[in-house]
Amino acid sequence: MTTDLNQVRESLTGLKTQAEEVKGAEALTMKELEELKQDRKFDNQLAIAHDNIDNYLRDTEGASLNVDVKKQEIVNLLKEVMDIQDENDPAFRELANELGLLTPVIKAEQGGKGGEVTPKVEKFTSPEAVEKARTDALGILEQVKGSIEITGENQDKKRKILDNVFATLKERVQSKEPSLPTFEELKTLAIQKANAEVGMAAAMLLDIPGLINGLLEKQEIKGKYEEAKKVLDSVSVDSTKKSTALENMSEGELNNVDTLIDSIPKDAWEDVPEGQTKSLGDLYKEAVMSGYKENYDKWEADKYPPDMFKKFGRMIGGLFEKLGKFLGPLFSKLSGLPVIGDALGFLKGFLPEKKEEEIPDAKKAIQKEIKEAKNKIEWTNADSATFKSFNTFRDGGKIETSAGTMVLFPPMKELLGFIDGLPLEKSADYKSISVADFEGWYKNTPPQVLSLLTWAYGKKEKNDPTFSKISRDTWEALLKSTAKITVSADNKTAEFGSSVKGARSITLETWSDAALRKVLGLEVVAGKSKEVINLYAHSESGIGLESMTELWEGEGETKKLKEFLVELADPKMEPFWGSYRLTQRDLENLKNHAGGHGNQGMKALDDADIGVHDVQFILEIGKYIPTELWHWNGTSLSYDDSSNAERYFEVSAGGWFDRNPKFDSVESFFTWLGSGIDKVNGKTLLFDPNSPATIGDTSVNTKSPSGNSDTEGEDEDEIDK
Amino acid sequence: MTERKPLTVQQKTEILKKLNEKLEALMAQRKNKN
Repeated sequence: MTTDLNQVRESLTGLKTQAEEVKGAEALTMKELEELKQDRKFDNQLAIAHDNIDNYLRDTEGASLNVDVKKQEIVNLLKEVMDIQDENDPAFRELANELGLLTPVIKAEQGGKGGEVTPKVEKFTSPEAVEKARTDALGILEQVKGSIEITGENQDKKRKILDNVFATLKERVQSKEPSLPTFEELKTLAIQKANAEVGMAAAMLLDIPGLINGLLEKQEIKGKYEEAKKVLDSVSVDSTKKSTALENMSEGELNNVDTLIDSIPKDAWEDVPEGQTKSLGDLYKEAVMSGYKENYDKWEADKYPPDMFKKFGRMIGGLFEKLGKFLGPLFSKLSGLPVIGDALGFLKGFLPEKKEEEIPDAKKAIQKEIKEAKNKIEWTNADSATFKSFNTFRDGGKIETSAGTMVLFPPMKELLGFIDGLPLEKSADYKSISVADFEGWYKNTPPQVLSLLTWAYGKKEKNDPTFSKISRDTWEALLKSTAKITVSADNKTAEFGSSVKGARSITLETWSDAALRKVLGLEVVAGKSKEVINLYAHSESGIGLESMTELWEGEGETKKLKEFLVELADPKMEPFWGSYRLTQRDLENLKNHAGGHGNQGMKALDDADIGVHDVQFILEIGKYIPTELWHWNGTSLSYDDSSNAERYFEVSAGGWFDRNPKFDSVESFFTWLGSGIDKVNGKTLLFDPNSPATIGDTSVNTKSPSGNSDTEGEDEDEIDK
Repeated sequence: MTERKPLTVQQKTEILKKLNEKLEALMAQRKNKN
C-alpha cells in the first residue's frame, strides 16, 4: 500500500505538465500561418469542386447520362483550365486524382472461398493492370450475381431488373475504358433513372464497405438516410428469413425499373463471352439472359438440374449469412442517431488498412481547421470559433461534411487560469504538476480537475463506460499521493496515475470523445446541421488532448453534461465530495449518518462528547492540514481557516480532554490520532491500546483486553461496562 | 513532353477556382436551356 501510494505521489506531480503544456504552446509563425491560410483556401476550393462534380454527375438534364462521358467532360475542362493536352502530366494527374476523376477499380482478392470478396481500390497503371482488373471485376460480378437469391412475388421481373443491373456493370467492365461504377455512378445509373433500391442493392453487394462508407461520407446521407436504411434493412437476413431488396419492391417500383432496363443497349445482352467454361454463374447468367431475350415469364427452373439449385442455395445462404453478420451491427447502429461516427468506426475494420504515413486528406483538413480555431481562441481571446469538418473518400479525397462551433465552456477557462497560475518545474522531456501544488485543494479544485481524476480513477460501469465516481479509498490514496499526468515531449501521449490500482492509463489517441466531454466540460453549439454537430476537444486543456470529432445529437447530451458538471461542483450531490469540503453542514450530515454502526472507538468518543463527525473530520483533515493551523487552548482543539468561514471547526469535547491530560498540545493529540489512523481498517476505527493516550480510567475504555486491535465486537461488553 | 514544375498550393487553388467557375457556368447553362 505504502509503495503504491508513493508511486502515486510521484505521479501526481504531473499536473504541472498541464500547465507547462499550456504555457509552452508555441504560436504559429507568420509563415506557418500563411501556409495554413493557403491550405485552407485550397481545401475550400477542392470541397466546392467535389460538390460541383457530384452535382454534375448526378445532373439528369444533360445530353448524356453516361458518367464516363461526363467525367471526361470534366477532365477536358480541367485540361483546358490547366492549358495542357497530356493527361499523363503529373500535375494534371495529381489534381484529377484529388477530384476523384481517376476512377478507382475494385479488385477482388479471392481467398479460395466462393463468394468471398475483399474489395481493394487500385488505379490503372498499365494495360496489364487494366486487363487484370477487368478479369477480376468480371469475376466479382459473376460471384455476386450467382449468389443472389430471388424470392417472393414477381420473381421474373426482379430477376430481370437485377440481371440488367449486372449486365450494365459488366458492360462497363468490358468497355474500352473499364471501370466499375462508383457509388455516384450507380446512383446516376439506377437511382435517379429508375429505382434507388436496385442500384443500391447491387452496389452494396459489389462493394459493401465502399458503398456504406460512401453513403456515410456524403452530405446526401441526410437525405438518403431513410432510403439507405430501407435498402440495407431489406437485405438484412435473420435465421428465419431471407429476402432481397427486390422482394420488397412494389409493382410500381418494378415498372419504374423497366425504364432502366430499356435504357440498356440490346447489344449488351448479346455480348456473351466465348470460350468460357460454364460455371454456375455462367449457367445462371445464360438462363437469365435467355429469359430476357425471350420471355422472362417462361423461364423455367426445371431447365436446370435440381442439384444446381441446391448449390445455389448453399452459396446464397452463405452469402447472406455473411451479409447478416456484417450488416447486423450496422443496422443496430443505424437504428438511431447519432450513428454515423459509430458506423464509420465500425466500418474501419472492414476497409483496407491505411499505412501510417497515409494520413487522409480529410484528417489533415480537420486538423488544420481545429488548429486554426484553436489559434483564434488563443490569440483573440474569442469565446468561440467555427470550424469545418471533412470526411474521407475511399480514394483518399475528402468532402466537407458539416461545420461546428467550438466554444470554451466557462469552467474550462477557469481551469486554464488555474493551471496557468501554478508554479512550474521543468524537466528535460516531461513536465508535471503535483497535487501538493494545489494550494487550498479542497475548495479550489475545479470540477474539471476533479472529473479528470475521477475519470482516471473511477471504476468502469456498465451503463456509462466513460465515467463513474471515484471511490473514497481511491480518492484518499490519490490525495496522499503524487499521481501525475505525464505528457510526452511531442504531446502525443500522456499517462495519468497508472500506478494506482485500477486507474486508467490515458493515451490520448484512445480517449473517447464522450470521456473528453465529461472531463473537459466542453460544449459544442449547433453548427450548420441541427442533427449533426461536430464535437471538438482541444489541447488548451493542458493535457495535450488531440482534436477529434464526434457526432453529437440534440440537447439531451448537452443537458446531461451540464448536469454532470453541476453534480461535481455541488457537494450536496455527493456526500463523499462534501466530506472533503467539510462545511459545518457537511459535518452535521456526517453526524446524522455515522451513528449506530457499532464502532467501539467512535462509540466511546461519543460517550465522551466528541462526536463521530468530529473524529472523522479530524482524521480526514488532520492528514492534510498542517498542524500549525490547529489551535489548542488546553481544553479544546480548533481549526480555523480564516479564508473560509465555513471551514471553521472546533473540537471542544466537553470534559474529554480534561480527563486525558496527555493531550496537552496539538502534536500530542495528533500523535495519538496518528496511532489510531494506522489502525483504520476500512471504515472501522480502532484505537491502539498501546497508544500514548490510552484512556483506561474513565467510562470510556477503548482497550482491547487481548491487546489485539482486530478483535472489535468481541469485547463490546467489556468496553461498555 | 514539356516538363512542368510541381504546382504550388496557390496555383492549384487558382486552377480549382477556375474549374469551379466553369462547372458552375455549365450547370447554369443547362438549367437555363431547360
